[in-house]
Amino acid sequence: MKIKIIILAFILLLPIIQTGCWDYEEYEDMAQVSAVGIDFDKKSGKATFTVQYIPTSKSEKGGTSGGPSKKMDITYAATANTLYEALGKIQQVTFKKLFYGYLKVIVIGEDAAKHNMLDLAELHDRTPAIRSTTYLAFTTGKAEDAVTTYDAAMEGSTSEEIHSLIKIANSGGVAYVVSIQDFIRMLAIPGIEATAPRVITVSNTPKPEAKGGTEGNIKFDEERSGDHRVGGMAAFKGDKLVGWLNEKEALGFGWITGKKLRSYKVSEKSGKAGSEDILFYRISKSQGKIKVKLDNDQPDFQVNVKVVADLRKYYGNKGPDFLNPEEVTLMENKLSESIRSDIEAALMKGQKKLKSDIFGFGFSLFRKDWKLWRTEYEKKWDEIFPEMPVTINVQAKIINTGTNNRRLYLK
Amino acid sequence: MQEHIKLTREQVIFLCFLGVIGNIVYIHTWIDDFTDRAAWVAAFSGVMLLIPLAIWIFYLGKFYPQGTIFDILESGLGKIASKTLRLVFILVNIAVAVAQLNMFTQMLNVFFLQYTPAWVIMLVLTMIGVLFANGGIQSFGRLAVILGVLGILNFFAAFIFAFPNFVHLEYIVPVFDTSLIGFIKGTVFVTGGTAECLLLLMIIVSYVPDPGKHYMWAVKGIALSAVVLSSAILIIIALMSPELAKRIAFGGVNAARLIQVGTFIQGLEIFILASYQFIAIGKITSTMYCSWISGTKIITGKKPFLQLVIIALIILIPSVWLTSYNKAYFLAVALGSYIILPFSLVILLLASISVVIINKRAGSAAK
Repeated sequence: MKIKIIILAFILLLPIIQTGCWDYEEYEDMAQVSAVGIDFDKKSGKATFTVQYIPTSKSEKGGTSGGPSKKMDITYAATANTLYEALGKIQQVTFKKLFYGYLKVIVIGEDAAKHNMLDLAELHDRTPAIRSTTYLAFTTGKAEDAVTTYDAAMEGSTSEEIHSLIKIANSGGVAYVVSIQDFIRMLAIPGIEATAPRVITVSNTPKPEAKGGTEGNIKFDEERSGDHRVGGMAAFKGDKLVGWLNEKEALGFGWITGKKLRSYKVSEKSGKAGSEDILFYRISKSQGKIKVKLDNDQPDFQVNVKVVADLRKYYGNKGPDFLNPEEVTLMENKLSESIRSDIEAALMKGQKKLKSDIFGFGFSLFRKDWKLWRTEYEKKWDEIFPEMPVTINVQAKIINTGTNNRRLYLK
Repeated sequence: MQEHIKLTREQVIFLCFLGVIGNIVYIHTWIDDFTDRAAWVAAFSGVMLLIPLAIWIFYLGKFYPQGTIFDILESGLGKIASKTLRLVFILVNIAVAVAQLNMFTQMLNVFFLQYTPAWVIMLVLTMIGVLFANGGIQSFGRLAVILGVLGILNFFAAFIFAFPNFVHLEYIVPVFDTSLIGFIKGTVFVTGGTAECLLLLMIIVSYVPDPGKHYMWAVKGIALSAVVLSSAILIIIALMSPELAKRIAFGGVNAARLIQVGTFIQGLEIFILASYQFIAIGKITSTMYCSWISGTKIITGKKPFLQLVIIALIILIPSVWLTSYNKAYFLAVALGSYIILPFSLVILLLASISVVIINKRAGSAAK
């Protein structure tokens, strides 16, 4: 009986020490951080941390900004010797606890990407509050400018805009989604270098205005009207940003690495012909693979790309009456040429100019023969890679010519 | 505190499962350096290597029905030797419980309850362990079945969403990218780490009806654990890459955090947390139960419930004192590398010698 009483006492004691009490937090007491910008000044060695959060109540935003702005977020920026100090400063002026669980995007400035990337990757990967699926993006200028710029014509937050732009760019092949986890993975896996999407900010106002004022190194409610464009990729070698891929190169990168593209594509302009000579296609399926053939332990890399597309625009002024099979074959060849040109551009930039294996040729070699990779190639891959021959094979298939099977006649 | 109750087949299977799977939190990060992508194969092989040892225990149980392996030692080697070995057994179990309690608590602290003091979580878990252990072997057996089934269901409920988008074949193939020595090292470590199962079997063999005949129950339990442990490691590697998998502290939770289907399906780590919770409760209860049963044989007839509470306190106090994931991790690694398997082998060898001695004595008495 005594034992039963003791057990009952234990059970009754359990609710008293319910563990949730220590971590209890009201939703309204949290500032929901949606975007973070990170900059680094090489000269001063200082870091700038820009935090954008969405107020959890209307009055909060109304009281801060006023005016007719449709902007939904509040942005603070602070500069300090380290990121954590800067973050501490922002927390000092934010009367709610910064909560990173819904963080959508982290934008990193060019200088930080060149000088501070390993620390940043380590910080974000180790912090449990930040989800590893958060998008990562790099900007050619300062991340602070990118995060504080908002589209005045649209209701919503900057973070949402950048997040959506990256997502849309992904299928179009002008930039690809990279999460924190993806980025860390590319840093860690041998034989592949990191890439991440590029965000370009445009505005008529040269600098964002701190509407709430400035105190020391803290800027309150910083914003400016403008827009963002996501296009191209940041290319790394190790943990250092070494250059940028433009849209064409990014598309080539997508073909090589087998991204699932749903983009529009045009044929190459040939010679002196006008734009009417250019064919338009809609890519419905794409498949890319790096194949490695070994000949006496010498790798021969092949980029094999298969594409399925529909025709969207034929010549306006020439060509046969019916779009017959021969004509379709010509269209396919033109599309193949165009894709090959993207791949060549990407290889030229990544392999020859930046000398960075962003495509993962080394990783493919590892998968083909891991012993050979580890004994012969891994350590000297950086030197060998730029000279490695790559063969490009593109197979394009036009499965239909849209709603018509004859060309358009002019009366 | 010996009970005259018999366990069912399912209960033995899931008790074995709990014994093996408790190490899922740390085992793969340690072996990844040796085994690379073959970590999951090494895990499977390492667990399967426990089968002969489990059969050995059941075979010994045949000679001493309703007795634990330590009862055999007592009959063969005498009280002093058996009590000394029981004491070491209790210490090993307590160390296992301390490591387990700390690793699970720190997982909660990292991902879910940042501000809750570790001692509170540990106290709650220890109290739950006391409740279940006090319920006796049959209720613990039933609990093991429930926790095991729920744990497996939760685990796969989370990872089913990883297919096909988050599973990267290129991280799995080639499967063997390691040396034979590395693979053997990893396999042996897994055997050592999962040998905690043998500690439990040494006690529960006394509740298995006709253990000499029913050794397949343990074989099935261990085989099930081998499949679950290796598939868990395989999924973690496929999701994260072996390079990242080797540096993460809480594999399942970290991997589940990566799964996101659309905007709405995310946060699946809660399922994995539940699985870990079931495993932790089962594991702490089993170590507590084993220590308690052995303790009651050292100090016979002295208020068994009080002894259970004392065992619980002996687990709780060093756990609170330790309060560190990293220290607990290295404690678990040390136990898995150097202590549990050698200790189990010594006990089994001595128990075999004891059986020979007992048989000889019986033979000479008959003459």
